[in-house]
Amino acid sequence: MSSGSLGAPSGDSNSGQGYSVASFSQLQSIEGYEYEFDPPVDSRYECPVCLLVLREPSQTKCGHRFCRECILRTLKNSSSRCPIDNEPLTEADIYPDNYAKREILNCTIKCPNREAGCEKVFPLCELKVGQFATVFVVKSFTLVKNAVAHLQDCQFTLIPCPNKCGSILPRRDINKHVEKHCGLRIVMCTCCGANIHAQLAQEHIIVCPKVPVKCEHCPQEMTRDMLNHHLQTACENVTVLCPFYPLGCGSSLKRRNENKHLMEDGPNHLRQLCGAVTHILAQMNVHKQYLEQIVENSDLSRRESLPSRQQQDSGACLTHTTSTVSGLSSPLNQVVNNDNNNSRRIEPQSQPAIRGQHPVSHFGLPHNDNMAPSKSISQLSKSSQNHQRKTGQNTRHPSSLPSCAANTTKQVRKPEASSLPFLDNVGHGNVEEPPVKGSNLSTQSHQLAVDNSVAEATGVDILAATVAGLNLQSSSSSAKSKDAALQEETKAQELSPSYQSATRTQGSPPDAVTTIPLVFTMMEQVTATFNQKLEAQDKEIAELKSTVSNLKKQNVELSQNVVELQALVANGLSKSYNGKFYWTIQGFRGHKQRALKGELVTLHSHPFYTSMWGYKMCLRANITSPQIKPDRAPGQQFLSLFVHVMQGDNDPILPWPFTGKIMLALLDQNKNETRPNHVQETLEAKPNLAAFQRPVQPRNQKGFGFLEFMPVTTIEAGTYLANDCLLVYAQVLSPAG
Amino acid sequence: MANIAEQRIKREFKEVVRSDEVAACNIKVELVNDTVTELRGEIGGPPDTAYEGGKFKLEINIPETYPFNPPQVKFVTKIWHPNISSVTGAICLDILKDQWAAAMTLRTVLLSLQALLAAAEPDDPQDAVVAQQYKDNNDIFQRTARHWTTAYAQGPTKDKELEDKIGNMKSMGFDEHKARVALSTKDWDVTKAAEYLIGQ
Repeated sequence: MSSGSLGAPSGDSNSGQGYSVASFSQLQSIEGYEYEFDPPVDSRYECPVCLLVLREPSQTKCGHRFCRECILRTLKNSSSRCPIDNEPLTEADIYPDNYAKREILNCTIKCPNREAGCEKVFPLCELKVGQFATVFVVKSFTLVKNAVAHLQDCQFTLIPCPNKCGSILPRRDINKHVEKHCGLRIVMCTCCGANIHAQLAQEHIIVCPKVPVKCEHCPQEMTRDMLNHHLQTACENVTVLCPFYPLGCGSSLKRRNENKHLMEDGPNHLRQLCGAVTHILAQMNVHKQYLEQIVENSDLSRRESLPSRQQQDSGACLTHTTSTVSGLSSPLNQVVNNDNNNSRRIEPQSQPAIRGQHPVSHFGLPHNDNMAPSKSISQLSKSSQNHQRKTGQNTRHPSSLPSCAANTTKQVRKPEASSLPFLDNVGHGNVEEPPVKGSNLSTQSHQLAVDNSVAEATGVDILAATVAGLNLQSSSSSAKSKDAALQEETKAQELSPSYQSATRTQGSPPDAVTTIPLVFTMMEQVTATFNQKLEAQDKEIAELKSTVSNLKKQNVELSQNVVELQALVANGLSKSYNGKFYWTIQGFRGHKQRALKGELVTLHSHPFYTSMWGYKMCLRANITSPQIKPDRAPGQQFLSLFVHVMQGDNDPILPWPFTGKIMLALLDQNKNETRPNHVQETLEAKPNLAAFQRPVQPRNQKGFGFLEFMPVTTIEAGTYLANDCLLVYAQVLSPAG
Repeated sequence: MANIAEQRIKREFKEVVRSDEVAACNIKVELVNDTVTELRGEIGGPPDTAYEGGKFKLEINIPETYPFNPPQVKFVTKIWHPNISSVTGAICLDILKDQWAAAMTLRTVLLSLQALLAAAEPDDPQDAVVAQQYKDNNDIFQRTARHWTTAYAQGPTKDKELEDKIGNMKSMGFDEHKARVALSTKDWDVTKAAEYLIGQ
């Protein structure tokens, strides 16, 4: 490391530039001071390990000085001994040598920026603040009390640009750089006044909204932000489309010609407009028909739900009015007449009947089929109520009824004539209004039903009683007639059990028109719950997928680990370093049988090292097949033993070819024998043989050894086999280690 | 290479180059290529020894852990010495093995090798044959060593008798170096040396 380049920025760390120098100081603190001392420092202040001037001098108990880091590193990296006299040493035997430290800090150095031009010479302790424990020095020597750390002041110290543009310059150049050259200095745009980095000025000019630009279509000049507006609204030369373009006028023309075109092509444009309007009308018709169809369908279902019997049951009193206007209007006349005649007479009887009916009529209100009648009925009951109050007047002023029926006022005039248009209105409303209005009507009818009950409470005439009777009848009869249909419907829509139970408890089966929206909402709810469930399941699946992929990753990592571990284990097995190697050949008989069949039986041992820094070798054993040597007695098998040199970690440092002696032995495993009969052979490596050259393959293909180390018969006859295992021993003696 | 080792070698280089002591003792270190891992050293044979006047080249390899581990040094020049293999040039010297200390430098290593040439340690041999000769027949050892110095290290002294014997062997068809090895091994007995070579 060069003290100049590295020392300089770290010296600046105190000047508040926010420049991180931790890595520099870390690097630097490893070894001694590499500054140029003037005069040169006495060699006793030189660290024998790094050969530099001692940094944080430390003395050992054997009296040698080292940089603190150097000696600690030595103890850690190599033996725990003194690097000079090999005396045993531990960390506890090392003490800071503050005397030497003070001496060194007071030695003068040339400024590390000397090559850049600084010619200052000053004590080492004045180089930087902090790093050299200047405080310590200041306390001891008042002389340097006012010293300013030189590097903080040195004009040649390299410091980073305060704008963090990445430039590192000598201090004396930094101001000029910041003012004139730094790409990150702030400059003001002369057009828009924005503050921008100098290096972005060129790019800014291209996009600045206040830069004057020329319209490409006309000679007008304006700021860039106005250009778009100009092109869209003002520029006379811009080509625009005729406003009637979407209606079929294919013209595109310069804006200045637009008005002229509109004037000239008026008839054509009218024609296009006409065609478009016609088209729209046709479309509307189609939609209207469609809507009517829907209304009709709903009416149909309503009609089906109203049994004709009801009309018969209601008799002359009141015919149900939903389907036809006339069907309602004429009996109503009768009703009004009857009312006029009989109200007083029937009143006492009607009271209980109405009380009994009340819940039913109230109940039946939401249903569309009851809606129209209930409306008319309630209206009628109101009118009858009014009528009742003014019975006396009624005969005298028969004309007060119509306004009563229409507006529920208290005047009753011309009952026969005025009741008709009112009922007509009701009938029309039922037939023509689309279902949307139907719902309005139902609320309206509900309101009326409340009125109705009020009327009941105050005293109701025969009309109300009849209506009640009718309602009762109609609900009961429709209950019977539609029971089957409803059963089916509810079965089909088992999704709404609550609905079903509701109908049961109410005892009055609702009909199709109310059922459908209800069922729809039910289905929507059910769909919503299903959707929620699906979403939850989707999430679950995604989570499971990620878990599975994680597991797969882990699996791959684990299998890699296994491979590495296997390699480590294999490597570890080969770390026999003393040149002695025992090899157990298992399953000897099996090998022999395979050899007998003519197979080439070749077995390799684990590798081993001849010494810590020695050769890597392995053994090879063959069991020869009897067919190999025709001149031998048939069935004569031999155990061959060879040594193979392998590529090892130490090959580069070892002398090649391999020299030395190799002893191979087949061990007698008779434990009882005091003098076991080992068979051993020693061979000397011949440097000219290929087997002992530096291997170019992981294992040298050429081995060296004994093709006929021992006949298999002899092995089997002796005590060389134990548990079907042979024990081979090799010892390598190499002068090179 | 680790920064520490590299920096340290560079500093040592300056030391070897500038030291007067070093020049006086005829030791040299050179770079082989632009890395400092492989170096070439040279030491002069110490005066008043069989190696006097010879220049012995050394191969020096610097490990990454230098200076905490010793450099690997061996002789490139063939030499007849009990502690140096006559075949491979491998050196048996404690400071290059377990007695290495981080304070040692290339300079001290080369000076130690020079000292080793001046004072062999036959009881801790690298080359058993040479060591045996050193102990049993020191005169022949000294002549042989001097002859090898002349033959391989540009030594000044010529030993005519020994050269003649090698000439004999050469005329028998043996390679000169092999003949020299055989003769040196067999205490310059031509017959035994020839038998040795044939039996090899």
